[in-house]
Amino acid sequence: MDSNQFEDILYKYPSAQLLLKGGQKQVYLIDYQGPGKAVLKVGAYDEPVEIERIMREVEVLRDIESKYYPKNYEFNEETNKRFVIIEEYIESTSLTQNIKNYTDIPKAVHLMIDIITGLQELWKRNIVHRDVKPDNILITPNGDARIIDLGIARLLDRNTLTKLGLNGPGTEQYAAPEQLRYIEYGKALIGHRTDQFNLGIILAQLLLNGYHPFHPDVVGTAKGNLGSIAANIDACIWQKEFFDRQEMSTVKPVLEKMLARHPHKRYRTPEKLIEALSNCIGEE
Amino acid sequence: MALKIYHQLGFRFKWNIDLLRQDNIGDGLILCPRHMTDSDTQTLSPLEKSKSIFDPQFFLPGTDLGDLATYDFFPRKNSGDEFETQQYIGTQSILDANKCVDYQIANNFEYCVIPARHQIGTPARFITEYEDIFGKPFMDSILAKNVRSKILVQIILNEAMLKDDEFKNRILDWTTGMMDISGVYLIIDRKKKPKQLNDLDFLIKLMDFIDDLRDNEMDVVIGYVNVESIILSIADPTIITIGSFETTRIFNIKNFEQKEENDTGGNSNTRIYRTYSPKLLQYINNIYRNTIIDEISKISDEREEEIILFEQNKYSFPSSHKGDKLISQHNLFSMYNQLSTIKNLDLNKRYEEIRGIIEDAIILFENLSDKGVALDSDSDGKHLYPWLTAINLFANKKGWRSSR
Repeated sequence: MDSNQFEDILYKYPSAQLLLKGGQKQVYLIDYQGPGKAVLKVGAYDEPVEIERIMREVEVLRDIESKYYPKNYEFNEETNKRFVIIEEYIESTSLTQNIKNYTDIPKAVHLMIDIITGLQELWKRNIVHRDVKPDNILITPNGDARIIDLGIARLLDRNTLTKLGLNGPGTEQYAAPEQLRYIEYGKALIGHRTDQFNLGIILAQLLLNGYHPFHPDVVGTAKGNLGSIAANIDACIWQKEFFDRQEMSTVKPVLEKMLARHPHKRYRTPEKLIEALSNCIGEE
Repeated sequence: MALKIYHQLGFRFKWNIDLLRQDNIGDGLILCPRHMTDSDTQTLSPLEKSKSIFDPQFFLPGTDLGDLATYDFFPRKNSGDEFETQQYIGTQSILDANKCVDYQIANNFEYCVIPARHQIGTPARFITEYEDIFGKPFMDSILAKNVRSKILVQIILNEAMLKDDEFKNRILDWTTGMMDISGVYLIIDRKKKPKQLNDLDFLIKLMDFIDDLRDNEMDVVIGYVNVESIILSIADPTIITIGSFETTRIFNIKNFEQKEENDTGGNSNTRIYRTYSPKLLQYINNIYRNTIIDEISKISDEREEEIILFEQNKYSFPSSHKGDKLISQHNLFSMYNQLSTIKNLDLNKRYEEIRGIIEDAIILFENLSDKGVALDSDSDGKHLYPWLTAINLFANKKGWRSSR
């Protein structure tokens, strides 16, 4: 992909400061009339179905009007199969940068419940995020969670995903088994429990002081022809022993259920998941 | 939660309905449009309908209609003679789904059922095809009409599906992922022989399948089930069924391929009649039954107590009796009474009780053998050993204890 392919668009935003550059996605901070600042996302797509999906999801974000998601200000289709999204700038840092602040159980669990409450806005509309990962969770100065990149990752990270060996939307390190086997299983098995698995990885990672629970350095490598973390996810090999310790006894069964290989072994409803998490910190 | 026992209706559905009305036998009905016309269905009172499940029986959407012709939603009725099951997608399935949902709403049945077609083996496109033909059209219709009754999705589960762990898990993942449905109407598509399911692996996997659904807090209705219903009950299904003829106790797709003149298995001169023995957990060939009653004075259990193998009830019949109705009613009565003794027990107690019944039955068969009775393979007790093993393994997994 030509790195200057968005030059003619960016020309309209002289204040644009690059925040992130991916395969077919670039994200900028821009000055914007009204709120003062906004996030500009420029991207390219290959198939009409992809832009239709993005348009639908922009509509959803506009419809939700939730504090958990950045407000959408603009969406435009551009020439040469490109698009522009302008959305709310949220003063925040990513969870990736904040992992060390959430290593004790109550803090990690409260954060999870906060994120799940936000994701419920999607789930009740039969929408699955599919790419819940620390980079896509923002933490505001007040410690509140915000969720970004809804659905956009499906398109924009596709080249990267293919390289990583993923068959479908998602990011390898946080993918659920049904995402790793998307072509084989199809979309029917992707649901809110897919996001639940992604969250399970994040919760375990927080409690493991930032170590990824499925990382080969932590648990070794499973046999298989996928990437090593993916192979471990597919084989359901993760760092369970750490959670055998007494102080982890309440959270371990919840994690085991969230990280179950098969979706039907996970919590069927978000309410049950929140209930289980609340119980493990002694809250109802 | 108490187990409910419903009649699986078939060719002689009136006999079942009579038992429900006159003798309070059964907690509800599973209706069969294949054999019940719409007029028959309309003879049910609102209360009876509210305790009934209407099975649309789309098993073979392209076959001869039978009494299904009286319902305006059956696929072939609307698609005509050119209908082919494989091509049944798109606009027509949406129309049929709308009509079928309308019918179920208008009659205020206990559940709204999303039907399934019969499949052989483990089709690669099983879930996708189901979604296209039934899942999406029915769910769209149900959601658009704001249906208030609980929704069941029908699954016809064959041996190959159940024994293929990957396939089975995918069905469970898919089914439990449908957030708007309350449960599964499960039909077990298995070999016709032996009459009592005795495949240990099959039984264990079936109990686990039910258990997985229940763990997801889904209702589980088990249709077309024979005496094995008693052991499946420890997996905590919501509803199990009793049926008068084998065609309602063992699912056989051939019964839906053509209009049958008589579903009862032959004329009264050549038929082998069987009587259900709660003590033996088996239907016994009546020639043997009569011999046992007439010739063997005492059958005892391990406690040396005299055991009456065949329940004496309102519909008991003399040895010389031939004819379906009385025998059928007697059997339904016996089966229901037996299931009633365990339906309110908690699962651990239910397991203990059933384990005792099976162990006693094994001894009684041995006693019969000691007295020289060599039962035919459809009346013997070989199934009891895998049954006992299956429930014990399930109990071990659950951490249940038996005081026996």
